[in-house]
Amino acid sequence: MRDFNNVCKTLGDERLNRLKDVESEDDWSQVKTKRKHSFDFPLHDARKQWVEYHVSDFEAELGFYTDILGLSAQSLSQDYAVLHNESHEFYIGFWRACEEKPETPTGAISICFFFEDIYSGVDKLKRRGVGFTSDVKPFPDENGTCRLAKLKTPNGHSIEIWGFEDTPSE
Amino acid sequence: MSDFDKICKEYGKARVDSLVKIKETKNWEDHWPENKNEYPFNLGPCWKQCVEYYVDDFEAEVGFFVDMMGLFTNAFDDNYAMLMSPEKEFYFSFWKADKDKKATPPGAIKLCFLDSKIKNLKETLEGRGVPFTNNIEPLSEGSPMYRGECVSPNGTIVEIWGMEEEEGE
Repeated sequence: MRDFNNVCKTLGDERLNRLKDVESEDDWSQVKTKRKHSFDFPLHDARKQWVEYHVSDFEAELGFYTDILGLSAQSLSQDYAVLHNESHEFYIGFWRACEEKPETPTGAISICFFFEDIYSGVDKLKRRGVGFTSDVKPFPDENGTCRLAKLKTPNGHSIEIWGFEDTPSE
Repeated sequence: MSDFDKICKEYGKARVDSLVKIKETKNWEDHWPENKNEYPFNLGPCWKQCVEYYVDDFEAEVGFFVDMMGLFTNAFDDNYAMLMSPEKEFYFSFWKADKDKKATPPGAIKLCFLDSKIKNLKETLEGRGVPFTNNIEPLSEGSPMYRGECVSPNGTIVEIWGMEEEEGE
C-alpha cells in the first residue's frame, strides 16, 4: 500500500509541477486532461456516483434534505438514506452514526451546489426557514463575479451555494 | 437544537416512521409522505453538485484520482482539485489541509461508484496496481451485485459497486 501511495504522490507532484509552467489554454488543457490512465469505467444509470457520511441525528438530516431542500429518496432505511434531485444529477448518502461508524466530524466535508440563479434559490430557502451562516457574497473578493452563500445541515455539516453574479434571463 | 433543526427532525421522523408501514415496493407511494417543499433549483453550468473534503497529502490524492483512476480536473491549483468523470456525470473535490481546514479523518466519508461493467473494472484497476482492502466480489455467493473497496492515499474510502454484465454485453 505504501509503495502504491508513493507512486500516486509522484504522479501528483508531476502534475503540480506542470501547473507552474502553464502559460496558455493549451498548457492548461494538457494539465487537466493528460493523465497516466484513462477513466474507462462506464457508470450504471441506477446511481452513478455518490458520497456517504455519518450523522448522529439521522432524522433531522433526512428532514432537511427531503422536506426543506426537496430531494427524493432513492434508498431509505432506519439507518441509511440516499437522496437525489428529480433529474438524478447527483446523489447524497448518509448513515445513522454508531460505534462502528462514528459521526463524521463537522468541518470534515462541505456539500456544494452550483445554482443557475443563486439569488432566487437562496430566497426560496430563506422562505422555508433556512438560516444562512453567510449570506450571498461576491467571491473571491468584492470584485468577483462568483457568488457564495453558506448554511449548515442540522448536524452541522457545511452547505455551500454557488452561483454567478448574472442571473439567467427569463 | 434550533427551532429549524427541530422542524427538520420532525419531518425526518415522519419519513423514518413511514418505513414501518411499507412492506413492499408497490405500497411505497401509499405511505411515503409528500415532500413538504418541492425541489425548485436549477443547477448551474460550471458544475452541479460536489462534496469537498480536506487532505494532508494533496499530491498523493491528486495522483490517485487523476492518474490511477483517470478522472478529469474541472478546477485545479496547488491546493484545490475538483474532479469529474469525462462525461461530467459527477464531481467531487478536495483541498490541501491547513491550520484552518483540518484534514478529514480517514474513513469519515466514502466516495461510492456504481459501475456497469464491473468485471472489466476489477481487471483494469488491479492492472494499475490499485490495492483493494476488500476485493471486488459478489455480495454473496451467486449474487449479481458486486462490491469492493479501496482507500485513497489519505484514507478516503472508495467503494465500488456493480452489477454483473449480462451475456453478450
